[in-house]
Amino acid sequence: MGRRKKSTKKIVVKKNTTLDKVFKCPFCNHDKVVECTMNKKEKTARLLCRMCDVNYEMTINYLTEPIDVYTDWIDECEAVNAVDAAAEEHKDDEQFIDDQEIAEG
Amino acid sequence: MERTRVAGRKRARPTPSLRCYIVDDHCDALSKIHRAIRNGALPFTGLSAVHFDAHPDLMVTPDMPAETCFRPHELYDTLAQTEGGIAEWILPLVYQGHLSTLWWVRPRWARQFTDGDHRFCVGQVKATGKLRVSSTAPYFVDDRLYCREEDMHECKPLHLCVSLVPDNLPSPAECLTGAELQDYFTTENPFILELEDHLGKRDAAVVRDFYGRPRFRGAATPLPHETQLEHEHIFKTEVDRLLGAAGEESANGAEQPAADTKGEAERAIVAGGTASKDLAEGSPGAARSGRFPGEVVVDGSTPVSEEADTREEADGGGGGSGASQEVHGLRRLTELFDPDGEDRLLAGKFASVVGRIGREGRQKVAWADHCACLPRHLATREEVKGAVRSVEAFLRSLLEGGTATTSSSSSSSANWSGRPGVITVARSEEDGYVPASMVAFVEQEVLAMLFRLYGGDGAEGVAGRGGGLEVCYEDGLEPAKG
Repeated sequence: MGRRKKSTKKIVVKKNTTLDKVFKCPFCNHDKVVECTMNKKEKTARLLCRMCDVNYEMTINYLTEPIDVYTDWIDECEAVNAVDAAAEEHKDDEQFIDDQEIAEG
Repeated sequence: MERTRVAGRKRARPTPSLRCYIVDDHCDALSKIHRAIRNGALPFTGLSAVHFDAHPDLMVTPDMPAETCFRPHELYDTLAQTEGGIAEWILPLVYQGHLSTLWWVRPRWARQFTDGDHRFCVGQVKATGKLRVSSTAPYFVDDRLYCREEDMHECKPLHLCVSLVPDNLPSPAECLTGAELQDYFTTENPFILELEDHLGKRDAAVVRDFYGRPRFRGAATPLPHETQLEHEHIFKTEVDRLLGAAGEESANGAEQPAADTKGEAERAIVAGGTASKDLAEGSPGAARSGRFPGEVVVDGSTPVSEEADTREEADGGGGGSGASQEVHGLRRLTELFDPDGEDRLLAGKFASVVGRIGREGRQKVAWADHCACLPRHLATREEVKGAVRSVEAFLRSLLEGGTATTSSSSSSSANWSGRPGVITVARSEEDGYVPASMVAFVEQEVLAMLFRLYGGDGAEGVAGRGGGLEVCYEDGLEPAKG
């Protein structure tokens, strides 16, 4: 008892979903200006905004699609922003404590 | 100013819910698992999967270069365009380096592998570049997929565990992907269904048994691999010879009345020797045990082997005539079955069926081929509900933690845990492996069970174990209704 096969004689070829390859730049906010180039041999991918020249590189695998590189970049940006915001908040808190101490003499 | 950021690692993006993809063809699950790896819901390597199915789906596309596995879209297209693609979607995951442990939970009517542990490699044959396995299990014999490990490179190991749903689980740890397939609960064999329509139930059963019971296909007591291959070759050659005329007639496009032609008369002789008329009329019990193992005797007539000898003598001993060759072939076929039981009559019965079913019938048999003996069990709704309850109890015990043992062997302990990273459900409606009348019912039962376990759709899920199930239908599919 080995393999099974399709019982329907007509083999339907499904259309693959097309994924985006150009994206909006999170820095200059222009639409469709970030292009992705992937080097599968060297397992690297690079995003480049042709308007503001901002770029991003990451290592990839054979499954990686341009959209994955872009979302990874957005995640990185959000992570950096979150760290910056936390640092800013911490700085504000320290300033507030200093001001309080000065006020209390 | 140029701003550059380099990230050398893939971070797991937290997904808010557990995705459950509903697809129709089994092979469409592959792209969903790849997507889960891409978005971080599953890790890139070391995956374990639980596969509920009446079919192991552990084939590889025989002619596909192994390298195609690393071109995902080409791979999906190949699987979609190959008639066997629905059974060839798991081993690419092994060769790609993602999947290392697979637990095939089979229903009791599926016996393609023996229960227990099977360890083998999937690799690229050095000489041909094709994908092959290092297992000599009978499951792989028909497609001759075995290759010695030293003749392959890029070998990736797979630990395959086979069992029924375990009744009690000592305890689990790391299960990352689950494939729930609806034909686990109720299984149609679309090939035998078609044969029953054309040949009638009795003849279809003969065809099913003939394809399913040669010793080289027996998973329980496998023959040595060389013998398996030799038997498979004889089987294929002789069956092709028996069915061959159907193809020739088909190629000529000539519609010929059955049994009116010389060729048909010869096939009738092959079908039952001098008593072919009895068999041709389908008289029950026309074939009975012969005096010696490997012989087929038809009632009141000569054993096939003696008849072959007689004919060979009449032909001058050279075995030149088509009829004597065919009788000799039938004897060779008979020897492929268990000599001590009823199975040794199957070759004679099959030849008898082939001799009287006409061109279209033979074409149907050739089309079904070994798929005639695939599992079939048309479960009632109550049976399905019972099986869903068993699967639910099993998945609940995985979810609640512990270490599941997949067989009695202590070395077979695999770690399975909690919540899967992704679930795929193949509906199997279009290819007919789930009875059409049961598709909606099984899907609703399965989804209700998954909601009870993982939460969502108003269900709580097992406490503290997840953010709910999100059901995603493949493009073109909608929730099954009925």
